[in-house]
Amino acid sequence: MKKANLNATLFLCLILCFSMMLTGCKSMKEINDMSILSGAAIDYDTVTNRYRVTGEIVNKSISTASEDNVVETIYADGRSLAEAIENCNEVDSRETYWSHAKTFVISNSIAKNQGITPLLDYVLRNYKMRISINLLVSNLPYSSQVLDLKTSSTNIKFLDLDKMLVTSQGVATAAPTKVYQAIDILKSEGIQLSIPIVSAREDMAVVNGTAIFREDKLVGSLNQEETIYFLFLQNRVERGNISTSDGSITFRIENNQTKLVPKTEDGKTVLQILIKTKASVSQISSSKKYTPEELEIALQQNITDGCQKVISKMQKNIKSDALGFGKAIKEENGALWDLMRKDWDVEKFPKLPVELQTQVKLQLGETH
Amino acid sequence: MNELREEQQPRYMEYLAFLYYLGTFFFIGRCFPMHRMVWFSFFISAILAAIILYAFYRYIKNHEIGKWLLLSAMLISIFIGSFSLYCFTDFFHTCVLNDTPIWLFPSAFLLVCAVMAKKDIHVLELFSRLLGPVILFLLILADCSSISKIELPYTHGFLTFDGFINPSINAFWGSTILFFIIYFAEGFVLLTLLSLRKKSPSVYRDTTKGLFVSVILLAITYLVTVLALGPEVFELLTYPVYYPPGLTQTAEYLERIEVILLAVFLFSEFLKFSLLLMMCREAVSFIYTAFSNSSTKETKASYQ
Repeated sequence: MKKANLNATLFLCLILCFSMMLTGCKSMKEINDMSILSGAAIDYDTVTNRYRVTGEIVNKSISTASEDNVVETIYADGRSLAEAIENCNEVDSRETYWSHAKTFVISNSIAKNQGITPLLDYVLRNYKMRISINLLVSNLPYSSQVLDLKTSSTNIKFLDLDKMLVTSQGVATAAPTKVYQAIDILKSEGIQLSIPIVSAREDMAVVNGTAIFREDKLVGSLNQEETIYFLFLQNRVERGNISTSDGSITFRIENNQTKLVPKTEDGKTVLQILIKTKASVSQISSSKKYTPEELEIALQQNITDGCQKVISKMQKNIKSDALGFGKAIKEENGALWDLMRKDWDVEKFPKLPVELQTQVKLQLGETH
Repeated sequence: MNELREEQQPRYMEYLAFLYYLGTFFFIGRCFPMHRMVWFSFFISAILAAIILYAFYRYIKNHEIGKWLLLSAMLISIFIGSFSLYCFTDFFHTCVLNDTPIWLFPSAFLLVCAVMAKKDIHVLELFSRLLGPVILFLLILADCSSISKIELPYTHGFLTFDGFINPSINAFWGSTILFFIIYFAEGFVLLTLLSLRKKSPSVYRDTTKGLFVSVILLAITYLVTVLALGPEVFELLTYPVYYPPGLTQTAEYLERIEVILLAVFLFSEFLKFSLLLMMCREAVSFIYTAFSNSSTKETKASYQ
C-alpha cells in the first residue's frame, strides 16, 4: 500500500512539474502580450550623450492598428546601448521581443565615434537577440530616418532591408555582414570590418556602398561601383554585372575565384592577387563588331583597373585592410606575419606591393 | 530458468552507451572555455579512455565487484551527475527557460530520472533502443543543416599550424586531459553497472562502439560549428553548438531548427542521469546488504 502511494505521489509530482514547464503555464506569454520587433535603428545624441534606439513593431496593438500602416514605431534612450534597448519596455505596455529582429541600422556618427563594439557585445551577451542579425550603416543624418523611407515589398522596413541585402549579395552590390561575422572579423588579425551602407534615393531606401572600419570605428566608405571590385578582391562575388567605363558593353559575371598569395623575393614581400572570372556578355550597345579576344581584354582591363583603384583607395586614403591581405599572409606564412603584424594597417599595409593578375573566360553565343 | 537469465543479459548496450556518452559534452563550455581544436580533443581522449577502460574491464571480468569498487563508482556517479546537472541547468536557464525559476528544471528533471532509476535497467535499454536512432537522425539533420552555413574563408588555412592549431595548442592539451578524465569516469561507472548484471563478453565491445559513434558525431558537430561561426566567435560562446542550426533558413520550412537539438540534449542527459542514479542505487543496496549480513552474523555469534 505504501509503495503504491509513493508511486502515485511521484507520478503526480512528475505530471505537475512537466505541465508547468512544457505547457508554458509557469511563465506563460501569449503572442498578444509581446511586441515583436523586426529590427532597430541606433543613434547617439551628442547633446545629452545618450543612445537612442528606434524599433519597429510588426504586431501592432488593436488600439493603434490601421489598414494603411502595418507597423508601429517605438523609441527609447539610455546612457548605454543596453539601457536604451531595455528602456523600450517602458514605452510599450507589452514586453519587447527581439528574437525575430532581422536588421540593426547604426548611424554614421556612432560608427565613427562610439564604434560598433557596444552593439556587438550586447547582442552576443543577450540570449534574446540572435547572432544572425544583419548590420547596416546609415548614410542619413539620423539612422531612424530609414523608417521614413519607402521600401518596396512588405513595408516592414527592417524585414525589407534584410531581403534587400540577400538580393544585393546575389548581384554583387553589397556584402551582408551578420553580427557573428562582424565579431569574428574584429577578433581576427589581418582583416578589418566592412558593413553595407543604407541610404536614400529620393524617398526610397537603397543599399549601396560599403562602410570600411579600422578596429571598430568607421574610417571610410566605398561607393556602389567600387563595392563590386571590393567584393572581387574579397572573393565574395557570386553573380553580378560589370559595364565598361563608356557603358558600351555590359558583362554578366557567372563565376569568380580570387586567391591571395604572398611571395617573398629578395627580402621583399609582394602580394599576388589571382582573379579567375567566368562571364558572358549581357549587352553590347554599340554597332561595332568585337572579336571574342577584344571582349575578354575589355573585361580583363575593366576588372584590373577597378580592383587597382579600390586597392589604391584602401591603401592610401582609408588605410584599413578590409580586403584581408594581412590574414592571407598570416595563413600562408605565419613567421612573416609575426614580423609584419605591428602597425599593419597604418604602416605596412599601405606600402605593401600588390601584383594583380586577372584571367577572364568569356562564354559567347548566348543569345536567344 | 535459463531463459529468464538469458533475458536479463544486458541488451542494446551500443545504443545505451551512445546516448550515455553524448550528453555532457554539449555543455562542457560552462566549465571549460571552448577552443577551435576541441573536436580533435574528443578523438584523442576517447582513444586513450578506451585503452584504459579495457584494462579496467579485464580487471572486473576476472575479479568480483566488491564494495570498494561500488563505493568508488557511486562517488564518481555523484560527481559526474552534479557536474552535468550544473552545466545542463545553466544551459536551460540561459538559452531556453530564462523566465522559469532556476531550481524548477533540475528538480523536475532529477525526479523523472529517479523514477526511471527505480526501474530495471532493461527499461533504459529499451528506451535507448527506441530513441537512439531518433537522436542519431536529429543530430545528423542538425549537422547537415549547419553545413550549409560553413564559411569557405574559415576552411582556408584550416589545419595550418600558425593559422589554426597554434593559437589553441595549450587549450587543446588541457581539454584532451579533461575529456579523457570524464570519458574514463563515465566508462568506469557504465562498465561497473553493466558488469553487475552479468559478465557478458560483449559489454566492453558494445559500449566502446557506442562511445566512438558518439565521439564521431560530437566531433563533426563541433567541427561544423567552428567552421560556421568562425573560430573567434566559437571561442567566445559558452554553448556554441546550439547556434549554427539557428542560422539556417531552408525554404521557409527548415528555419531556426535549433529546437531539435533540445530533444537531443534532453534525452541523452535523461539517460545519463538515470544510469548514474541507478549506479548509486545498486551501490547503496549492495553496501546495505553487506552491512546487514555482517550485523546478522555478529548477532548470531553473540547468541551462541
